[in-house]
Amino acid sequence: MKKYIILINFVLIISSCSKKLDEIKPRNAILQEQLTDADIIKLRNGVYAQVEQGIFSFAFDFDVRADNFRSGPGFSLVDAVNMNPSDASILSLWRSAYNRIADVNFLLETLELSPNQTTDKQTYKGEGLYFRALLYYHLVTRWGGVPILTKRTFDIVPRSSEAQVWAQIKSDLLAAEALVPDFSNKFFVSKQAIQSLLASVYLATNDKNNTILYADKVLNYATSTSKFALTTDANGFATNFISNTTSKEVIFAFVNSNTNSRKLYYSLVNDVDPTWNYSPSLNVISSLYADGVKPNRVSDKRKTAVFSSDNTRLIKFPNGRTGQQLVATSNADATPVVITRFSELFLIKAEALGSSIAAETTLASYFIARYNTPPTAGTVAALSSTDFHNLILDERHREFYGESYRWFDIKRTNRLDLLPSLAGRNYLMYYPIPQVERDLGGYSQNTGY
Amino acid sequence: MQLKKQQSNKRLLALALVWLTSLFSIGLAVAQSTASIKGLVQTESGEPLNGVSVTATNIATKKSVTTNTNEKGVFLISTLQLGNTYNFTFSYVGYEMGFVNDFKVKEGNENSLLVRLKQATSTLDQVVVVGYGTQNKRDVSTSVSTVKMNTVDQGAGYNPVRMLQGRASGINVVGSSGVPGAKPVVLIRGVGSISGNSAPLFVIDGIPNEGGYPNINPNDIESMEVLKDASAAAIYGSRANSGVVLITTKSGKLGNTLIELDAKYGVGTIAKDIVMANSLEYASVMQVAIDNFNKQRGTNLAYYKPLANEIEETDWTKVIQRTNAKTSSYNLSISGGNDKTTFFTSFGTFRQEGILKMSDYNQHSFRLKVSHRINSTVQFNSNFSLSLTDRNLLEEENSGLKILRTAREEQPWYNPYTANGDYKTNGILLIRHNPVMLINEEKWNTKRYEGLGLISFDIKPFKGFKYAPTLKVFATYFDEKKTLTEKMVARSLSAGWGAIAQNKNTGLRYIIENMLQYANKVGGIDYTILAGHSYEKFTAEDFGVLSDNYANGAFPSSNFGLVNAGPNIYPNGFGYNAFAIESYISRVNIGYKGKYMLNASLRVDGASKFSQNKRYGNFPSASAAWLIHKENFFDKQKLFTEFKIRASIGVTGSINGVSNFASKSLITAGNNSYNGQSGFSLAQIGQQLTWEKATQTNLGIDASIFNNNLSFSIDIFKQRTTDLLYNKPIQASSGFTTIASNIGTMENSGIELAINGKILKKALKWDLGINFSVIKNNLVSLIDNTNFLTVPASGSSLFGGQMHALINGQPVSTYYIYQQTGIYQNDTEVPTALFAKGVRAGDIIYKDVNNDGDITELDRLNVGKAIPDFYGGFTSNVSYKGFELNVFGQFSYGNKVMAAWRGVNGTEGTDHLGNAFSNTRLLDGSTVEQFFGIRKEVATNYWNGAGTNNTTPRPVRRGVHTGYGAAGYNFLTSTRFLEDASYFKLKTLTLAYSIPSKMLKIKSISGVRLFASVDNFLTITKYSGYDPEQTLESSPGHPNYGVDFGLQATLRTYLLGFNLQF
Repeated sequence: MKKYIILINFVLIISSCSKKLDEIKPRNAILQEQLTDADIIKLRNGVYAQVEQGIFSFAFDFDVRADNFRSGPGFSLVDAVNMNPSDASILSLWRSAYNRIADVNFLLETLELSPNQTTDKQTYKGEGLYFRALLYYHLVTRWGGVPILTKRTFDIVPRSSEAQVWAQIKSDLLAAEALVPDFSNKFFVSKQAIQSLLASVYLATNDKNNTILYADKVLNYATSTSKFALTTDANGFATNFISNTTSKEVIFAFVNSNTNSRKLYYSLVNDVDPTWNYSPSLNVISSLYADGVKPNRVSDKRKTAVFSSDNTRLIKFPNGRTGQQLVATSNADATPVVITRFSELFLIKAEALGSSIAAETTLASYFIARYNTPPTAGTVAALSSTDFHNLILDERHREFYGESYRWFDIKRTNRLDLLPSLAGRNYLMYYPIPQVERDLGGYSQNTGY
Repeated sequence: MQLKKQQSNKRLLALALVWLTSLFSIGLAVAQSTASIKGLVQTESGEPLNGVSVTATNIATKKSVTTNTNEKGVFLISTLQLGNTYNFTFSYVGYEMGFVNDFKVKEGNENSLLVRLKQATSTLDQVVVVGYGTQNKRDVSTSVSTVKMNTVDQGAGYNPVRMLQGRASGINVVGSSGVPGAKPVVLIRGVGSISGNSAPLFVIDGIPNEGGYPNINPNDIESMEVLKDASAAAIYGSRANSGVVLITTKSGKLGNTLIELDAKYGVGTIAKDIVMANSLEYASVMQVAIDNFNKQRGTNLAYYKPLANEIEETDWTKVIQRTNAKTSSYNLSISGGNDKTTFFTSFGTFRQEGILKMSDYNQHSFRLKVSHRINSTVQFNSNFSLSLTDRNLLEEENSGLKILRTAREEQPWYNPYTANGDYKTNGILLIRHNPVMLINEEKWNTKRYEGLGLISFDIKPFKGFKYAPTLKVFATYFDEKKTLTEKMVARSLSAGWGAIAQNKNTGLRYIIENMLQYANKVGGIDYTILAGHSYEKFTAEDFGVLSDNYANGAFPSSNFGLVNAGPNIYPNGFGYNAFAIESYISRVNIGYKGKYMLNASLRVDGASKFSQNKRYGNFPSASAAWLIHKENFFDKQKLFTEFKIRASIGVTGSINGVSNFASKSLITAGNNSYNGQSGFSLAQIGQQLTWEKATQTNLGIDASIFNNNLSFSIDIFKQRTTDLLYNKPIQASSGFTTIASNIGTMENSGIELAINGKILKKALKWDLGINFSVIKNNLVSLIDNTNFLTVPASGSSLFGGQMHALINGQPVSTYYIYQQTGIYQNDTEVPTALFAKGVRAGDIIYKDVNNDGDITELDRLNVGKAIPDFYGGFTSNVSYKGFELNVFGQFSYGNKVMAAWRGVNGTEGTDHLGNAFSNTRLLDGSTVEQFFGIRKEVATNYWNGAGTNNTTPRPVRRGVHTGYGAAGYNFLTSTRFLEDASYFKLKTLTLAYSIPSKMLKIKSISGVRLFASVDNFLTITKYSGYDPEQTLESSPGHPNYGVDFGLQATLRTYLLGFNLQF
């Protein structure tokens, strides 16, 4: 009998610990209260990773909606400019941006609470503000006025006006400019990356003086430090898009080296399996890098870095296979998520200057870098305002084809004539607020939907 | 042990004696110290009973002797002590226990007994397993349904859950797809919860099952008790909102060792096929689609069609299907025991093929259950089982390759192979991945090992008291491996896919339980008090890795079977989960004079899932029953033999629906590293959650009339669930898309009726049972004053997109979509706003709810629900001599299914009529557009001019409509794809024959039953798919509940089998 009593006692003892309920903790995560001040750098790395993912989700978006693509093998793309509030893809873009804004705001809030504000933390704050601005740039260009969150909240925040969103972006970027040091590593945010985005933002909001001012800040920095330079041949151009690019054109890119969450550009446009989503539109293939477009530019060096003899592929994004990329990449999966390239600053500044000798001067080195036979001297300055405008849009098309620029360039310059498949449905130049979000947040819908 | 308990319980004994219809003894004196007794055990009608367990217990020494009757019903015990007094018990399956007490053994061989056992007819005398104990059914005051397992009448499945379907009221079972091993969905008394799992808690021999539905050898099961009302289930407290199913496995019985062998073999074919159009039909529809497009858009697209001599007519579904799918099951069990030790052991194996090639399910189960009485106070019980489920799966769902859908999508004019015998590949001629390649070149195998162990002691130091310490363990090991060959071009080179992907997940749940029980009698009052404590902890860890793929020759060859054959290994599926629950359990059962029963219980549960200050929840219950037929005044009427009224109220809880760490703010790493440096991200903000609680009241009547020949049970219940746990959708500006919350209130109410009749009772017997349940579910309140919440879509848009809404006053699983009212017959009927969006004659008329002349999200409306209004089943059993004919049927009414396979909300599906096409290269290198396959029904029956059709729209190539998303106007989530899933089924039909023992020449064989059965015999339904019993998800609150995505077909199976007893 005694041995049973011992056994019983034993069982009672091991089962009477209700404190054990407190000991149940996850292993694939840590509790927020376990974070220390020293972990802030990890939070900042996390924000880079999250924003990288968020920006990648917008990849090719402005190409798809701007007649740049047709359906890839095994896919069908029909009426790609068309959008609907119930489109899952639109919802996914909206969510992607706001989820990352919350991550950024969490970093900023945590930095705010940090007892010792080191220089590094000032830099992180500046990076956070830049990322927030970058995400709002993606929102405002698509949806116009959207809810502005500078702090996290579960409360519903109504839509602000489009102008208020642009103002918020500028204010974040201006604050960031003062906090982040000069360029040292293309895979991290630099003062020049911030100034480049500011130049774009001023251009988008038609503030020509500031556009020129900020473009010049970057261009002058490049002149004085030689940190940035244009590549001068097709191979150099292709090098912008290989793993761990050494190209001096890249002002800021996400490194895209996390194998836990792969972000594969090639799988959408240049895949190694038999099917992929998008192939270049046939008319783009035949005309994008054509010679003889006014002013006469001949033998565009970019062509062989973008297209190959296989008209179903966009080889600008290497897939690791000879013949399906111009230059070898050490890892096709790690194609950088490029945010700003140096070439854009020339085009931004020139556009703000308008048809002029100053513009021709600005673009001179750019044309030499891009064409075997650049425009003859004086031909650019001689262009009519319309022709100059066409030149800028054409160059941006050539330069950023496949980099998700085209749709907003058309919208920003109000050149809806360049988007024939819009067919009068001009309301589509604002994305619809996703129906799910309207159901939850009570937001107004953009007109036309 | 059982015997001793019975003897000490004088009330039970008295009851049992009533059924002992005849008893006499004759004694003659012979001078010796031992004596023998010979006896005969018969049925009431005088037929001998073979195999009755007879136990004689010496009242003085407590020693027992056990034997069995032979085929003549005769038993002989020759070791009785002369002059001593014995108690005899007689037990036999299906019969009431017989007792002969205080039998004094006289000298000589002439001691004899004639015993007649009465068949167990009155259901009220069955023993019912309730939580943490058993009760006589007579004493039960709550709502409990019992389903006994029958080794013969199981149909083709191997799933005990399926045996609940249609056989007990209040239990709605939705069968699964034809994927081998797929689990059905069980809902007890409506929708238990709006999120997480609405499946009941399955408890196998006292061990809560891990992973929802159990993998258990159905032949091991003695009975299943469904605790339906809250009072019965409240003893399981926090996990009982959706009801509790107690599964009790067989135990060894006193007497001769019983060896049973069961075998079953079956062949299945598709019960109802979805026929695809042939090339001719397909080509003619697509020509119309192109013509309509050209006409509307002013284009001149050409329609590509191979030359007649290039057409390789192929029915792609046939290419990947077996001609028939085989199923087999073998089971061996050995059981027996003496007065000290009883045991039951079994080994079972089951194999089921799916109709799609390569898919199969194998289950091997082993069990050993031993009870041993150590001494007069302590009994030791152990119960161990192991099961291995080994499945070969195909990627049928959106997560992967949608193999069956893909087969339907290929053009019927190509076959799977190139001229030199290789697979045709996607993009060259074919427009989808070659399904033959998908099936042959990717192996997907899962093995799940489950081990259950229980060790307990029943310690009875004094009369009426029992202390039972118990350790229960449930361990799982899951091994999943996906292997690609070099020929699997869909993936063999793609990043994110490895030549081998392997996951090894482990889970362990243990429970330490200490239960005290005391039963006694004071005056006319019988009472039992139960009190105890339990601590349960669960941990699970997932481990998954991926090898390299074949790109750049990284993975050397598909002949290698380990992930390390390539240069790298990548993480792929790591996870961890844990929870603990601490519980205090108490219950009192009081009976007065066998007429009045009162039960009350209280369970207090503390769950690690909730934050410290909200952790503990109380789950009380009370119930009462009145056995009116025991009252004197009852004798004055002749109609009712038995009449019992039950009333109960109880509170249960749920912790499902939100994650185990929902109360904590979590920081994750892994995906958040950047440029080789680790990174953190705030993944979750902890929420102050509390228990979801349900209060249920139940009123019931159990009665029988015509001398027990017709018995029935009626239950009326109402359940009100508050603080529903729900991952509430939230606007994305919060940084999240859902947030764990307690929201709103929900009600379930219903009436259940079960009738059992013995229509014929002579040599020809006919028993008929019918059950019927009407259950209504509705949401009473929702989040913060809102009365409406659309349930956002989840997963692939091909599931149908947003289709459900939570609406106050309406049931969970309500479809909130567009309603098709017809087809525009002329362009002039089309409203201007729609005409501008490309809508023309032949397109669908949707109900314009807000009458604005346009169709927008505002025109969605409530068009029905996925859960039924009522359902039920019937069993008919006719027997004559050794023959038995069982018919089992079931029905369901008022439920709707979203036929996603037809092409809702997407550019795929069998009814696309020109909406689905892809670019493909021809052999000459040119690129053409080709359309997906289409089903025969729509290919031969569509709108093609005014008055031709009012349900199926015109064929038209995609691209004529604007403003309606990628899928286009005719493919909005609408009632076009929502079908009535009401059905009536004759589910199984079984003819069995028991060979009479006298015909058996082999002495060692005591019983043989042969049977033939048809499973899924007949379905009457309007549904156009394989089977109206379909749902992609098991919880009615899930965005994809009620979706039929197009998984492989359910089968009609013809079975033969036998049962041998030694």
